[in-house]
Amino acid sequence: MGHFQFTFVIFSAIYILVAWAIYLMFRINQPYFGAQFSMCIGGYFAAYTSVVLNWPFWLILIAAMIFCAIISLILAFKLADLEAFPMFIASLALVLIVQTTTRNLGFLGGQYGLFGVADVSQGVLLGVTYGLLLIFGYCVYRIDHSYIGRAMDAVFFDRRTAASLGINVRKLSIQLQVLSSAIGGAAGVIYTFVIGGAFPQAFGMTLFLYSLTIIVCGGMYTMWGIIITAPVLWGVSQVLPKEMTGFTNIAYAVLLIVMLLVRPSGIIDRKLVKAITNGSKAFLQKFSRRQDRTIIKGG
Amino acid sequence: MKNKVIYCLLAIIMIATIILSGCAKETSTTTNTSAASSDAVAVSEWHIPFLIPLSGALAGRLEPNKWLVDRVASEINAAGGIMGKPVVIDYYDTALDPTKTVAAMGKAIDANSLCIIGPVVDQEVQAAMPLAVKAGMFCFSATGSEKNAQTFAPWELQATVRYEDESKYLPEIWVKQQPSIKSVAALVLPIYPLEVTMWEETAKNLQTLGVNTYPMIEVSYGLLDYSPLAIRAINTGANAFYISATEDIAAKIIKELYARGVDMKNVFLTGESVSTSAFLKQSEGCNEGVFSTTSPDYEPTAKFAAYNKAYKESHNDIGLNSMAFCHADMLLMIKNAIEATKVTGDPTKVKEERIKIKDYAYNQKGFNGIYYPKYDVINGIAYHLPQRLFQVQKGQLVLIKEVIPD
Repeated sequence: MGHFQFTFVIFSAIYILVAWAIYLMFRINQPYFGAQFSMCIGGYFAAYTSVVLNWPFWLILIAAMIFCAIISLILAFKLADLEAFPMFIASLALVLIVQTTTRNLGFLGGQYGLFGVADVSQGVLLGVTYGLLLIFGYCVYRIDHSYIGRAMDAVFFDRRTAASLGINVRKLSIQLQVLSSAIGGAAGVIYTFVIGGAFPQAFGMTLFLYSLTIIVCGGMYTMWGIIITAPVLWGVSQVLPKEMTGFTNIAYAVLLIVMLLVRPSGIIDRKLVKAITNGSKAFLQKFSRRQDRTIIKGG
Repeated sequence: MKNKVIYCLLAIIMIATIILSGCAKETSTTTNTSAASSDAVAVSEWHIPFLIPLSGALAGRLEPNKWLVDRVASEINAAGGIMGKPVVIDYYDTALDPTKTVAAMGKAIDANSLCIIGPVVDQEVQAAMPLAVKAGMFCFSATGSEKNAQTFAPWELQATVRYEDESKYLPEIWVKQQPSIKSVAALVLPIYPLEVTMWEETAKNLQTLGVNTYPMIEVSYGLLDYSPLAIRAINTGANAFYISATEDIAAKIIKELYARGVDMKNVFLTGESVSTSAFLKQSEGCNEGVFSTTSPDYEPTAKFAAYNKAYKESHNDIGLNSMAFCHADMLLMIKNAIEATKVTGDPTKVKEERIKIKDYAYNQKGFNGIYYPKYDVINGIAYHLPQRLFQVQKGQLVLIKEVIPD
């Protein structure tokens, strides 16, 4: 696999993971970007434990996810009760706090960052990344299609109404924040091992813009749109003519605004998912009926 | 049950599609090959990738560098190219985004490039160099820090003034010119990490000269008013000030210091503070006596003077900044390297030819640059680059002293 293709494939997966992590919180109408600052924390955790402590990759991955989950849990007790707008502001502030803190800590390399992580082969990185993608994708899918998913719908509609129906909104928010941060931490570890290190600028506003555009364009109410928009939006910025590459961020911002105005539910919304699911169910039923008739005729 | 089947099928198809697309045979689209003997040039054009942030936080700042590289490339082509083949610069906009930089480096490697110009900024160097090292491709970074050049040795070349030299010689000249300087406060806008490192080294050197220093005051972009920073600096008790910022911010700080009675001869400007003539215009009336490590009007060579004149004609009389020559110098080095090593550009020989380029470029004697007339590259780092201290006298920057470090 060529270097660019590897980069494309792996960064697409990283963006899908981060977007799913943020999507979980969007589902309960709490725009929480914990996945982003967890990606920073996870990335630096990976860099430090690899460069200074010489931990193996698999241990770093697991420990980083646990570490990010714990930090998120501590914050979640305070953040869980916030409404949408205060949550957005608080999580954005946390992103800036974490980024500024890493920039000012000498043992994390300060402005330069921390480089020299152990070399992990492309095959292992791809395998682990897509393995995590399948695992977390399955988790998100099961959450969406379970009683938790229905509770999330109710909370999205109205927190107080959901609470009056017996849903523990606070507990749900805490659980999703922790899961979101764990996924973000894993994405941070993979990112660090692909880049070869961690540094403050990697987890700034550009990442925030990418993640938000991926979710809004893909669809804030289903997990499937993100799978399409992440590689497409990332890929588009790589294949633009050189005269236009300077306009990538402008293009993302314009796309964001246009989607919110024209199709706020995103490219893939629940209606479309239902239509595809029903269509494929009908197709499978038709296919199995045809097989039954063939067997009966043959018999 | 059926939902699970559908989900699994979709997941498998998606992953297989993405991975199989990665396994597709890579065909180079940037290097045209023609049938050639073993010694003849195997390309119809020399494609040199240049990884440079043209958008993002540094949008516009590196435009002079790009302009000069294009200019030098067209001159090379007008003179017959490199070994008879024209040179084409393939720009990759990295936008100061490490992800884009890594992807751009990947593209350059996959295109069988012999070497690249850039990455330009330290953060990008750190992100992309591990890939270049694995691929065995030499990077003519020019403006990366010496620290990175040592980290990624022997695959990177740094060709700007060493910060150890600049932080040692020029502050010493300043302090000797102004014996009244007893203590220095620093106001630094950390455009690059190197700005902070430069101050830290300068502070150490000042202390060895018996001058007291105070912790750095970090300057931010876009403040409506810089007077609080100036007041904070004055309140440290320092009687001299070290400023490293952009021209407009440096000019604003100078005005605030001037308004509060600071002797301008006790102000030392470095970094990008005086990279273009905008500083002199914006601080007019307040800058008499200020010391600076750069001068946009200083033309040390006839070559640079000619380029500067041409640039001013097409850019409203604004000249090239003092770092604009760096990457054009790298293009000239690459030309010399290709001609000296007689590489062919043959994709089947790319590994060995990349090593030849590296072996040539990593140590060079007496390179004739555009801005610095002659300097050596020793283990990937440029040495004997003159250090110059200027002072504003009657509205113009005048050369006070030039030192050539060992």
